[in-house]
Parts: sequence; structure tokens; C-alpha cells
Amino acid sequence: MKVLVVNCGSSSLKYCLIDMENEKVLAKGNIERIGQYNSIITHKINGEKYKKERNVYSHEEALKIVMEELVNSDYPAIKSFNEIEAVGHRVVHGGERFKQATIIDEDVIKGIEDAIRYAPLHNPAHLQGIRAIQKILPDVPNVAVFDTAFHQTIPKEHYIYPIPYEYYEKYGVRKYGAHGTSHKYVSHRIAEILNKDIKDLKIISCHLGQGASICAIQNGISVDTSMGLTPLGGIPMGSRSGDLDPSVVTYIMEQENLTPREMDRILNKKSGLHGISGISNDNRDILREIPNGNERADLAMKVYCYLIAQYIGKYAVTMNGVDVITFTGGVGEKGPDERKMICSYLNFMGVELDEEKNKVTNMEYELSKDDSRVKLWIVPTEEELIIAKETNEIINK
Amino acid sequence: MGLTPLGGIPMCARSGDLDPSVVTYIMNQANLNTEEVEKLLNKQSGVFGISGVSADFRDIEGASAEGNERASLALDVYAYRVAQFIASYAVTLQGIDVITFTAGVGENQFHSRKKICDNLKFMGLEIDEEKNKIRGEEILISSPNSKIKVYVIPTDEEMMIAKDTLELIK
Repeated sequence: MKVLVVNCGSSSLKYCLIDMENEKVLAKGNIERIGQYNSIITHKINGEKYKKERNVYSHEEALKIVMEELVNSDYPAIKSFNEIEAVGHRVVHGGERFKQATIIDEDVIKGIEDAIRYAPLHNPAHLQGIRAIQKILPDVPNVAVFDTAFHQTIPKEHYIYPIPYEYYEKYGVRKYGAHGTSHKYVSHRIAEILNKDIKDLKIISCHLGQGASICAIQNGISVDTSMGLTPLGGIPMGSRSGDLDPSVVTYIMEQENLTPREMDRILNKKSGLHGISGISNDNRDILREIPNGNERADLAMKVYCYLIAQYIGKYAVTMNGVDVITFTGGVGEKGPDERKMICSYLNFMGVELDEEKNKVTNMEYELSKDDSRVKLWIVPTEEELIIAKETNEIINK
Repeated sequence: MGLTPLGGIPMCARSGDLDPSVVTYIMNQANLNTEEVEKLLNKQSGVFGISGVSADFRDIEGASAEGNERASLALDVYAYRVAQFIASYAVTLQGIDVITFTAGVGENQFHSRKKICDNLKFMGLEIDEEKNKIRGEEILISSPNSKIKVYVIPTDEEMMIAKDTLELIK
């Protein structure tokens, strides 16, 4: 059983072909600058990387190129399309309708269309990817795996915003969250590692990457998460602001005479660590500048870690305590400096980081001291594999 | 509170902190300008916005007692978010010795005080339910075993302003 995972962004596409027998990645890659000149195609197989440049005008064309790479190239991953038994599509926003991964039919497509208003850049791209696969592989089932689905268990008093209720009813304004696939995987995995029933654990899952979110998992379900109506909310990220006093939004719009769309762009692309430091949206670039005496780099990291630690405190309230805190995503897995600074705020809650163990990166590893009341773990996430697994489960039901 | 008194915890009619995309999304959907959305977030949000009942906690608690679900939802959201903010300042301070309640709701709305404190039990906070029912006076409302002391201390802003004024002109 081989599953192709497709993740279409507005001008990019990532793909990964996985053999579910042994969960091995057969080939993976991405296509950047779709719809522009000189699109870049990167294909990886057997530890080799092949890069090409050509004009790719649409997601359909991009997916045809992917199929060529997989089958007809000098380095084929499979002999024919028939070996692909299902395609799993990452979908950023499923609105309130989708509470789990779903086999795609016309009605599901309609549901993804209905959620475009919450993810105007992502959902249309996902739909193009789905339509293209339906044309190229007409007999293969497509499955949508939603970033929001895992968070549909959040109780109403945690997802409703303190704004006029009619905006929830009329426009669907509420917290939806994101990274659900990752938080679900990590929370189940840590229960396995600790050899406990997930229902007996209070877990705070920190997914810290370019996008970043924190999730409180109790009784095996998501009970709150930091991202909100869109992936802009919550903790600060590489280039996103996270939650703000909303008067900051209107004040800047008035001062700089910006439209809502321009303001959205600033909050999504020029804020967060990049905004404060003025250096980059990559934690590593910012950390490198701190020993050189760059005060804004230092400030950016302090704000980042402080606000994350505060969110962890908030979710201890949500669950009336916490048993284990997990770190995943690029920064969570490979950022000992950030982990150390975050945990330094949490001693009062019984969090004790072992500084030697904390030097480990990029593997499943316990970071807490033996007598730490709250356990700390790195649990690397592998979103493509999780999407493939969910896809596999659903079509074999 | 942040740049302006709109930020932070939800209030009687103000939203407190939000995912900022909520602001731009509403502006786009309802076709509002910045002044209109600011007014909406300052005057029609908070517990009033959720409950649709009133900006007065007494009215909302009354409606909740009569079974109004949105009134109960508003009180739940309020207590939850206030308690979360208290925990985020426990992170800031590396622990808490004492929590004080003041101003209209803090001094008088003992149901909301209890709800907030109930969210903080894991921190070793225990409230004395009988003492908590006393309104508007300086009093310790935590139980003797509570790891965190909880006081009601009525505020007197006019007196502070008068004292500061006097000191400066002396």
C-alpha cells in the first residue's frame, strides 16, 4: 500500500510518497514558484537530490510533473501510477464541519470551499490540488486531512471570543486552531512512550516551527489551543504576531493608512521574531546575533520565550495541572536555547529541565530531571507520515 | 491592558486580547472601517457581546441563574480568561503569594470571584466560600490552608489622586 501525500500552498506544492508496509518514504520533494516563471522543482530519492527549473503555470501542471518524476524519470520510485493506492491532502481549514479526516467527494469539496473565507490563501490551493489529482488519477481515492479537525473537541467556553455573539453565528468567528495533525500525533506518541493511557495524562504540546502553536490535551482530546480564527493567533512566531491588544491593529491601520489586507500581511509576514529583531524569521539567525551584542535580537528571543511560557501557564489552568510538556517542530526539536529559556520561567510549576539532556536535538528524548514533577520530552513530528497514516486508516475502514 | 485599555482580559463591553485576524476578518465581512470596529470592540464586546444581555454583571448573573445559556457562557469565558491571565503572571513572577480583587466586579460579584478561583485550584488556591460572599469590604477570602492568600481590597482612586496631588504641590 503506497500513499501519496500532497500539500498545496498558494504558489508551492510539497509531496511525499510513502510505503505504508514499512512507513518508508520512497520519494519526496517540492515545487516552488508555481504560476511564476522559473519554477523550481526539487525531487529527493535514495538520498539523492535532483533540482530542475522550468515554468510551471498551475497546480495541475505541477502534479503532472510530480507523477513524471515518480514514474518516468531516470530514478523512478514506482513502476506505474497503479501502485498509488490513495492520495492524502493536507487541508488547512475545515471550519466547524470536519471533525476528522474524510474521503473526498463533491460534498466534501463544497465543505472545503465553504471554509475558504477562513483560509483565503490555502483552501483554494488545496482544492486545485484535489481537482488535479482527480483528473490525473481518476480511480484513486482522495482523503482530506484537516489541520483544524483535532481541535473540534474544544469546549465552547474556550473557543468563543468575547465579541458580539452574532459574529459567531453570521460569520463563523471563533477559535479553530491549527497543527491539529501534529498535536494529535505527538499526544498519542507521548502516551505510548510513557506507557500510559492517554486519558490519564494532562499534556501541553508545543509545536514550535515557522508557524507555532500550543495545545492542551486532556482525556485524549484537544481542550484548548493557541492559534485562533486563523493561524495568526496565539504565541509569536517567525514572522506572525500571535494575539494582540486589538487596538494595535486599528491604531497602526490609522497611523499608516493601511487596508485590512495590508495589515494582515504585516501581521503575518513582518511581525513576530522578524518584526522585533529586524533580522530574519529564522531563530538560528537571531540567536547568532545575540553574542554580537544585537539588543533587538536578544529582545526578540526574550519576548518569544516569555510569551510561550505564559501560554504554558494558561493551559495548566485549562487542565488544572500538567503532567508532561512536549516540544516538536523545527525550533521545538532543534532549539535547546529556546527550550531552556522557556523552561526557566516554569520552575514554580515543578518543571525542571536537565541542562545536559537538553543539548540533545532532533530525536525522541526526555529532557526533564528525574525528580521533575512535570516531564519534558522532545517528540519529533512527521506531518507527511501522519497524513499518510490517517489516509490509510480511512480508506481501509 | 495594552496600547489602550482595550487589551488583556475580557471586560463588561470590551473584548480584551484577540487573534488580530479577528479584527481584519470582521472589517472585511461586515464592511466596517477602523473607527467602527474599534467602537464594536470597546462598546459591544466582552461579556455584553457574548451574552447579549447587558454590560452589567448583576444582570448577566441574574439571567444565568434563570437559565440563559449565553449569559452562562459569557461568565464562563470571563472567569476562564481571567484565571488564565493570573497563571500567566504566575509565570512572570515565578509563583504568587497573594491575589487581590478590586473594582466593581472584583469587590462585589462573588460568583465570578469563586469561578475564577476555582480555575486556580491546581496552584494550591482555596477559597472560603462563606467569607467570599461578603461584598465590598477589605477581607481575606482564602481558606487558612490556601497556598495563595486572596484578598478583596476596595479601591479608592480619588483618594490616591488627591494624595499624589497634595504630595506634588507640597
